[in-house]
Amino acid sequence: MKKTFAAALIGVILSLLLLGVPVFAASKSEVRPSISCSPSVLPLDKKANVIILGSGFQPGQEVLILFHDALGVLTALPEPAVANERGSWATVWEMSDYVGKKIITDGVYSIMAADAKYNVLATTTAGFVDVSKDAKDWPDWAKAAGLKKPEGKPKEGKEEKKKKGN
Amino acid sequence: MRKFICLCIVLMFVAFWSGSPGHAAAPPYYKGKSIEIMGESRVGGGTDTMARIIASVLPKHIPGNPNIVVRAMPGGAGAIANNIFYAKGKPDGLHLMMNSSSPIALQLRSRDIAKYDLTKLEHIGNVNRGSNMMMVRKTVLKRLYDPKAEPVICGTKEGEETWMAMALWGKEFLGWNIRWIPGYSGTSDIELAFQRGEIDMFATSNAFIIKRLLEEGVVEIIAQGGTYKNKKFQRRPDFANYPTFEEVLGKKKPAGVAWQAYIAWVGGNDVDKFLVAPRNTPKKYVNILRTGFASMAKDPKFDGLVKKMVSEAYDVGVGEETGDLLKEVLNVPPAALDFGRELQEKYGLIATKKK
Repeated sequence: MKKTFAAALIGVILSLLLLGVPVFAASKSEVRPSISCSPSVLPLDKKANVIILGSGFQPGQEVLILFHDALGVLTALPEPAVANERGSWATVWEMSDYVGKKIITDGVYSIMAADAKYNVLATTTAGFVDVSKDAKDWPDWAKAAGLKKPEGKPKEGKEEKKKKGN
Repeated sequence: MRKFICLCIVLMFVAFWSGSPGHAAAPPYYKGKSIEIMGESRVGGGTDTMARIIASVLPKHIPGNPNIVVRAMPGGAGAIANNIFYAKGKPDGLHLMMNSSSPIALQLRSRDIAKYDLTKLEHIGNVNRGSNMMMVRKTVLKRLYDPKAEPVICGTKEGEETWMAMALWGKEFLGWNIRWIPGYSGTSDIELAFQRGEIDMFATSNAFIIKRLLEEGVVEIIAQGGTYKNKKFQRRPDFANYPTFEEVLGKKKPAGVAWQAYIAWVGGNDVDKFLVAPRNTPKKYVNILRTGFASMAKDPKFDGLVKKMVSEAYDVGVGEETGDLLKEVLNVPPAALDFGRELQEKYGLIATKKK
């Protein structure tokens, strides 16, 4: 009975080892990749920029920044960020085309950092607020972030554009 | 002892075999993987938009339902992305490129810039959004026909777009009073320049942009490229009220090599937006992608998105159909190519030196 139990135990351990299960793997303390956005809540504005920062990556690692657009399509920013010798990086996301072409509309977005094979390594969130809407219609988190309605000329409507065109 | 060893071996074999990947049916190649579609235009431009539409529908038509990531790499009228993709594109079925007619034009007329051969890529499919509509700001329209007035400014990427044939042949044969500003990165960039008042004239086949500018009342459509069928350019159904450039030319339509050159120049528009995989991508992946593309083209979601975001009237080609069309478009007689180049040089567009 003892022999049978020992045989079963040895058999299972050997097969797990063959399958690559790290039975005896030493636990290592690792710094997990993390990212953040600054600001994390901002007006939906063509002139807006978001600074994305990351740490805990491999030194020299190319990091792709991803988000799901308004259609739900996973989109990568054109240029990858590259981690420095401490595994940190920072990059600027210029919103101009993304807002202008309605690839980003108002709402909360997951911003992801991924490796070259698009495996997601870390995520954060950013909230975009359509500040041209009446402030009372803003979501609570936008009000709590202290955003203000921009001052200045109201947007040019179609009628004004028509007059200019003619 | 012998029993003990036998039991060990049997247990090991059973546990290993039941956990091995070969035991179950192999999952589809694309399961859990991500496909990258590199776009050669700016974010939000026509090519990028088509890449997004495809990326939102194609995954469900590919076994394993991969993620599709869209990544823009604008610049050089598509030459930068195409040069990189041609030289370094990984043939693993996971790297694709959304291309357009501008790189076709570059391959035809600017061999010093275009370090690629589009016919050698693996062709997945194409979407032809219809012909280009040439638009001029209403307030400057009179100047277009008055050679003594200040020239109307036309925005262009590199002077190589298919619609530039209308502008060049218009200047040569109709006396259109045009000056160019080249260097824009794509249609969305050109449209922004139009909105800023930097330019007064450009063309696009993107119905979404055309209709918006018409609704705003700021532009006049002076001609459309048309689709070349039965030796004549046909109007696109969703803009059937506007004349083709051939109709605008009327009696001034040139004959011989000058007209042959025009037809050759605008040919790239028949391919329009096309999806390719790198050279030497294994056939098994290419076939999966082509089958998926064909299935996607019949999906009502795809139809709805194209009609909503790009064009009411469009054509889809799949696989070799797209490749054959490309080969046909790129097979231009040297005399016709030379005529186009000479027009570009004559009117001060970016010179493309003859080899």
